[in-house]
Amino acid sequence: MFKDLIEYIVKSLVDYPDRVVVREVTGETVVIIELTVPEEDLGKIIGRYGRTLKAIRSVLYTAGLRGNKKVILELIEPPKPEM
Amino acid sequence: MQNYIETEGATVEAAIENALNELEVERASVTIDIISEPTKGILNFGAKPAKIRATLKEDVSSAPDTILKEILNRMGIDAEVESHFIDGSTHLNMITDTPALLIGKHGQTLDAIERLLNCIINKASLVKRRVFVNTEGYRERREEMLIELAHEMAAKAKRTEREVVLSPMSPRDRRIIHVTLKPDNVVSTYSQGEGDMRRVVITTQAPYAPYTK
Repeated sequence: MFKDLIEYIVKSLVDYPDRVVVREVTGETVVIIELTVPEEDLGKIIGRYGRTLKAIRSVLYTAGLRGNKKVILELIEPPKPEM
Repeated sequence: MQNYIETEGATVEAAIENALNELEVERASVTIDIISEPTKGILNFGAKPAKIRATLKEDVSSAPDTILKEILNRMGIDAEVESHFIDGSTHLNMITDTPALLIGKHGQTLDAIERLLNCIINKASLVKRRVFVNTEGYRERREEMLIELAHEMAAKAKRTEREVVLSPMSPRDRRIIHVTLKPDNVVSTYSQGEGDMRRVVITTQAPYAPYTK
């Protein structure tokens, strides 16, 4: 459910939606969302002073209130291509 | 991408009907230009059909209200969205049973939704379109409250002749305080602190220092 929300928002924001990867780990009270976007799109997700990322977390937090879950968003560094 | 088609029909209406069928859209999502009116001719000879061009107004899936609905839906929030276009900006009003949830602390959630919507809509366009999000008249209520607070705190600054430091606020809220007290000749305002801790300070420009001598 949170995966759906984050996927929609992130894929709407980035230039390469096909390369967005979202993993959701659901615990009893906590949901951890691991988000990976290509390096070219990192700026779009983070925004100036991290404001966009903060807004995404804020929306996730509100969505979590419904099911009494704390939603944590982790931005995972995109894998560096081997030299 | 070509965003228009040209169709023909015995009448202008019939041509429009053909265009809508072909594009599989509603009448409201296209603009129609008549290229040529039909001519009857004589005994079906020289008769020409009506020709029109139907242009898609914009991708419906990228309309601000559609995106907002998609987000709310995935947040598990039941809400209707009203869209108004005023002075070149889109104003979206959400009607819901749980407005408090959508507003958040000091409008934090409302601001987050607004920011994301603006980012998404202006992602690829050079011409920036502003989108404002509101629910239950929250923005207006908050503004009224802040104007009242500004006047009260300005009075306090004058009375005590000391600086009054307000609590941290969003840029939008701070701006309301600054603008409200601008016409006041006795006090002036500035902001201090960084990021989330940035707050407005109201200060009196005292013509003399009361405690000297």
